[in-house]
Amino acid sequence: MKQRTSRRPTVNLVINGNPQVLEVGVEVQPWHTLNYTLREVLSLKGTKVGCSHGGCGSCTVLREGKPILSCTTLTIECNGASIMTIEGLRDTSVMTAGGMRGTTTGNLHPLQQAFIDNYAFECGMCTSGMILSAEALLNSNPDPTEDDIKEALSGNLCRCGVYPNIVKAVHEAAKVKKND
Amino acid sequence: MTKFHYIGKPIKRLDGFDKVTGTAKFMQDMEVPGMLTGKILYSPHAHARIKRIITDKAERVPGVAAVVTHNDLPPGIDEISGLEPGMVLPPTAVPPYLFRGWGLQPDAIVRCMGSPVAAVAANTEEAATEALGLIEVEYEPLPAVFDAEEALKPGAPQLYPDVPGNIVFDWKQEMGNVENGFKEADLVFEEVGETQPQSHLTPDTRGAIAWWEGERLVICTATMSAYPSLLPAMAAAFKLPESKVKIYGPPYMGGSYGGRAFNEACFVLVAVLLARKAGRPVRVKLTREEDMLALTRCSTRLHAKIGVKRDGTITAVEYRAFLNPGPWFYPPWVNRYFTHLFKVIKCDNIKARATLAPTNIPFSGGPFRGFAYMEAFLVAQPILKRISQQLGIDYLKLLQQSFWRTGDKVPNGPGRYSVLSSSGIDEAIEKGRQLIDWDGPTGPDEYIGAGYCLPGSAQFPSNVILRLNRDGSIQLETGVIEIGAGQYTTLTYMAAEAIGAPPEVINMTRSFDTETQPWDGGQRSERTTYSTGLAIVEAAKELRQKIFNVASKKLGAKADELELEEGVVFVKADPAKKMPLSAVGLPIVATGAFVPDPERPWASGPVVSFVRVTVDKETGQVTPTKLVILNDVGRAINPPVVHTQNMGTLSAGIGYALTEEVIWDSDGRVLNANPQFYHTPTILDVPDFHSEIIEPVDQIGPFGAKGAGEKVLTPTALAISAAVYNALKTNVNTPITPDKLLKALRKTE
Repeated sequence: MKQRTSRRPTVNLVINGNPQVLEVGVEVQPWHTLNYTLREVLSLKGTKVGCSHGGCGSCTVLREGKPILSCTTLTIECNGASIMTIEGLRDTSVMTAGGMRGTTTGNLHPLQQAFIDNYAFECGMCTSGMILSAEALLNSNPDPTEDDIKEALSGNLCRCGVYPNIVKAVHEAAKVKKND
Repeated sequence: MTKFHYIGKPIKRLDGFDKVTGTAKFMQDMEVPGMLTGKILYSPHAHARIKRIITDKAERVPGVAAVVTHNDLPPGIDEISGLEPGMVLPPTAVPPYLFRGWGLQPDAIVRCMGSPVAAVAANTEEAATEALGLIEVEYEPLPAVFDAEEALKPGAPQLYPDVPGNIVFDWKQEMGNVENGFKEADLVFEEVGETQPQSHLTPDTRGAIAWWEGERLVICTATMSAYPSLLPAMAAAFKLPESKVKIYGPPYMGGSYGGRAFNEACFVLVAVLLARKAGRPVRVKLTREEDMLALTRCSTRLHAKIGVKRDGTITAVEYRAFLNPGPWFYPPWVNRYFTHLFKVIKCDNIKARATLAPTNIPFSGGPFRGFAYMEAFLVAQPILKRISQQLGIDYLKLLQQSFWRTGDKVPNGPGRYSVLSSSGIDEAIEKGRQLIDWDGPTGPDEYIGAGYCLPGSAQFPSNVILRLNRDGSIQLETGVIEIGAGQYTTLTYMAAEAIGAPPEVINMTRSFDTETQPWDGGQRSERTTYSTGLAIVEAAKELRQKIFNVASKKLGAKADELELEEGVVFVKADPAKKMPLSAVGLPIVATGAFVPDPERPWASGPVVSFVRVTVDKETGQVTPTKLVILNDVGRAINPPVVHTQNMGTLSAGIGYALTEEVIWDSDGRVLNANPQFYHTPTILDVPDFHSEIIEPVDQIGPFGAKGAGEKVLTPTALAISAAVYNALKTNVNTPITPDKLLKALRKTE
């Protein structure tokens, strides 16, 4: 990592395991939301922006494993925090060349695979936030009931309305994770 | 039954990887080098004349590249008609001017709160926002009107000098003889119902990036109707041939539900004007509030009168409708609305009159998971409910009178009819009756309801190109964007089936591009699977023929003796003589088209919803406990995706019936333009549900497929509303919120 010589204060983040040092007044302004920093400064576009008011959940990311709304969280509040975005879920270390038959895509996380297998999305705009809220749930409660799942995801709107498939997907991913 | 290789079974969605990994690109993720940020200044008045607008201070803000107002509009823009070929409107109607109502207006009058007044392009959002605050506007407020019936009264505020009396059109039509029909009736029932504006609340908000390359205009935006609507609008506005306007979309659309079919032109225009003045690309991305104010479902009031004999036979129907679209209207919507009125209740004697009056409510009049079905179907079915109770006739029996069946001539446009190619309505009703246990017991405070809808279909052309590469892989080119309903998967697999090649070797081009991708009528009105699908089938025929012509020399057989299955060309009589597609060795191009023909039978699938709800008469809370959807889709190309569409659309139906409504105050200011205050169903609000696919044999659509997606909303809301009617014995306008329900309850007690 490059050496910082300036005396400007910095915001130190660990994003998907990678340390990031952002200079206040240069890369980050005091009024920047974490959503803005992730999307516009760090180009991590997998985190979506839906309403900018904390009303829809599509901007959800994990801070220290807990779901937060990145659109109503200031970046400077996150100094020292570890942040996980949707880009951090997939294991890209297993990438091999191989077109159709091999994998050029990396291993999907059980939740990602379960969302595909259960048709738990339509337009896909809520999916990043939905999966991260579910990941936080499974980390604290590996064996959730249907009510637990609904409760944990009640802040994530899916306007396409595929909620029943989302519940199924989270159940399935919980089973896979437990057996891992 | 026909054997299919690839379709008709569960197919994993091809867009799955992109969407679960966050790599899917939506409009909010699109960028162009050197682009500026555009921000819009909105009117704080529902109706006002802009007396003066001074932009000097805004222009001097560091980083500001352009400020535009109504003075920057190209001349004649308010005379551009949005009438599309084949669209019928009454002869007396004022032309459907495309750019009127919302957006910058050449006459400097704002006609709803939240209509753009000026816009700024700057290096940063901060600079643009600062500049907006420095634009000085002097308004002369004008009296405003918010109700269509009020707008038609003498002395009401007038919205347009060339629309006297605020009558954009007044459409009357009679089938049979309604006067005689009412004479034959033993009883006459009347009801008035209203439909509320519903916000699409698309997960991604509207956005566009525009720039000019000399006399060539380039636009990136996520629209459902690039070719039929936005392209001609932009070409006409800047007097360019359509070939000099390139409009392309991001790979994925973050929800549409009808909200991306209309009003795109008015909003994209702002980005285009800014880009022209700045000489650089400009991105305009609406905030959630802005987006919710830019378009909602239409606000309507319908008076309905039904004459009926004691045995339940309906003898006459009369409708009087007032349509309140806000400052202007989407013309095809009117056309479909009028058509649906003649379809809701089947009767020989029907008279309808619909008057459209522009008002100063926030911009409305868009389609929403259904092209005016809800607005037309909403009131008539509650009346049937009343008739059934009063005459002691089973509601479903009454409803069944109005079902259209295979071979029926269904009203399809004013004075036009189309033969319905197939209908699974009777099977749907029978299955649904059992699944909801229609005749069975109900729990305490539990009520059952049913709703039905036969959708229309937008008849627009589609073109498709298939390209065989030398390695045997195939490129499928369409003008289709994935709006979330699985278009990329469905069309790729239909191409695979029609060609006889594995889906793995086919790549469908992501999104539309009016410069490079063929013309498509848009992802609306359940038309993609049907219309683009038929074009794919035709292109596949041509591709196969061309492949056989080349292969016949190599295999030593005549072209008509060859077959192509699973990517292998072989001699039918001697399958051992074969070659893979890669051995064709020549790049080949084939095309196919779907051209609408009103004389052709019409493939449309009815849909029925059954619901059980509990009504808490203490709190006024209505809770759906079980929902059954039966959807006639002709053939399900990818059954799990049809079920997904069913569950998704029913969620919006529950919202419409119970919670969703755009609310404005007496000045026309919207009070709930945010998902925190506009209540759409969450994961906690969706009940136990059962989705059933009905597949009658259909000869018209591709592989027998009809549309599947949007039609479920209307019957679901109708079923909930019918169930509540059962509880209260009176109609409550949607959304049936606790306060309205308790008020109605007090009235009946």
